[in-house]
Amino acid sequence: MKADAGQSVRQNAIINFEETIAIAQLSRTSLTATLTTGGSGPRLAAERTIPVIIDQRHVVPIAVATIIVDGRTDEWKKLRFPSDENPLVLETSELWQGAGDASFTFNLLGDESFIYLAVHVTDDTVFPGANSVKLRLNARPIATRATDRRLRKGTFRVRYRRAKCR
Amino acid sequence: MGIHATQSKSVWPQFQSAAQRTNDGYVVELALPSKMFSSQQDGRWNTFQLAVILNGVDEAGDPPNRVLWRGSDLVDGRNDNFGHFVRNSNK
Repeated sequence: MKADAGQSVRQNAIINFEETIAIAQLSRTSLTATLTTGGSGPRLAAERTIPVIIDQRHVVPIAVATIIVDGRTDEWKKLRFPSDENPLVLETSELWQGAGDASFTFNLLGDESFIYLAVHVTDDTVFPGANSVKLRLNARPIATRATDRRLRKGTFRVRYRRAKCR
Repeated sequence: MGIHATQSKSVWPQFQSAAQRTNDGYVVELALPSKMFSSQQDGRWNTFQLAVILNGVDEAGDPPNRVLWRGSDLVDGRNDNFGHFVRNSNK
């Protein structure tokens, strides 16, 4: 696939599987793109691997016990959503050294009044004020968010900085 | 609309948050008022999208790396690849 300077190109690929594959295995799919320059000048190359998100909808379970928001996970049986083995890492991605460096698991529970979220962060170095957990929530109706993918009114940003840890 | 944990009480008074250090990092626990969601969906929430971002710093003064659960490199502006959550239908 080639693109002239200043132009972008798009490649669609359809992949047919001949046998059933569990979502958990599909979720490990990644895409590696290698870019090289052409022409007569020095040849430049770059490679980037990103996870391919293959997901299903997730049910928010009903909280069976009262959730006390205290930063402990005693009421949470399991934090069922781990950050991926090869997650998408932005900004200084070259400095990320794997799950022990910075990773997390989280879960959600709900009742009539709240949606609860617990995040267990694994991080070998924690700097107050610099480490944080951020959420991007999109509460708009499905039809709206499917036709306008921008995070506009009806979407929320929640940030929790490590500085607030007791 | 932006909500910082320390500011959110004025926007959503029921908002709750807490955190604790652990041996290997820390735990953050949040209670997000259902009204945040239902106010966008005709009185009762049925579904929402979510991306979780961990900002980590290895050395003081370094820029953070951002580890994502779902979302894309446009996670701050678009909902591409966000996780899709639905209400428990038995509720």
